[in-house]
Amino acid sequence: MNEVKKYKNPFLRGAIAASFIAEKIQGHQTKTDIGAHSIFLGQVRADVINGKKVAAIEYSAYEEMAIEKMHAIREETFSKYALTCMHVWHSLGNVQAGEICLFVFTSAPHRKVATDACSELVERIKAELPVWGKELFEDETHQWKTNQ
Amino acid sequence: MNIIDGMKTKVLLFGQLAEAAAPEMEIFDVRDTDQLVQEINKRFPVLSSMHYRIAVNKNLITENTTLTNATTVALLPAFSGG
Repeated sequence: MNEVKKYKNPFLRGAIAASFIAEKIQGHQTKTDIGAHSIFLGQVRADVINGKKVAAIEYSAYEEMAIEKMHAIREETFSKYALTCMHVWHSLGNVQAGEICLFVFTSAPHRKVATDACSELVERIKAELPVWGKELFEDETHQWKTNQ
Repeated sequence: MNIIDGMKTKVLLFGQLAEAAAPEMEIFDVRDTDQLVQEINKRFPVLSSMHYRIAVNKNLITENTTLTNATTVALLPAFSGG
């Protein structure tokens, strides 16, 4: 018998708006045990590859697996770092160059924990979540992104 | 024992693999992941030269793995999120 799993879904469609990020910061003002937030924002870069400029990235994922994996990463990060909160959002679908595609937000009483956890989360998200980016060029051709 | 007769494996493909072949397929009567890959390569020879990792029921595997009925296998090219 499978348990009903209600893991947080880190995915949202399209770009992550600056106003969404602002709301999330605002939402933490009631949590007065927090002394430090660390935020990472990934932005789509207009790379030029063989003379062709990237106009957007189209993200796709193996969502079921990614949600489970993100849950495991979340649990492991909470047990390793004394965080007050941790939030992750990743875009799916099209994100234009210059728009935000990844938002990682950690909060803790003190800065070192927040920044270390945030940095580790970003690395793990890029390495371990089954997500793929298709770089769409201005001339409507594409190539598959590779992470460095 | 003929318990594998009629066994069905659902295969999901992602990224460049989905683009080169198909986003999903059903493969019948293969008993392990090595056999599954052989069968997939027969259907889509283009995949035989492509690199990917395999997840069986959402868990990454590193060696040949026995399949049971109604297993979902995913072929995952290098991740490039973020």
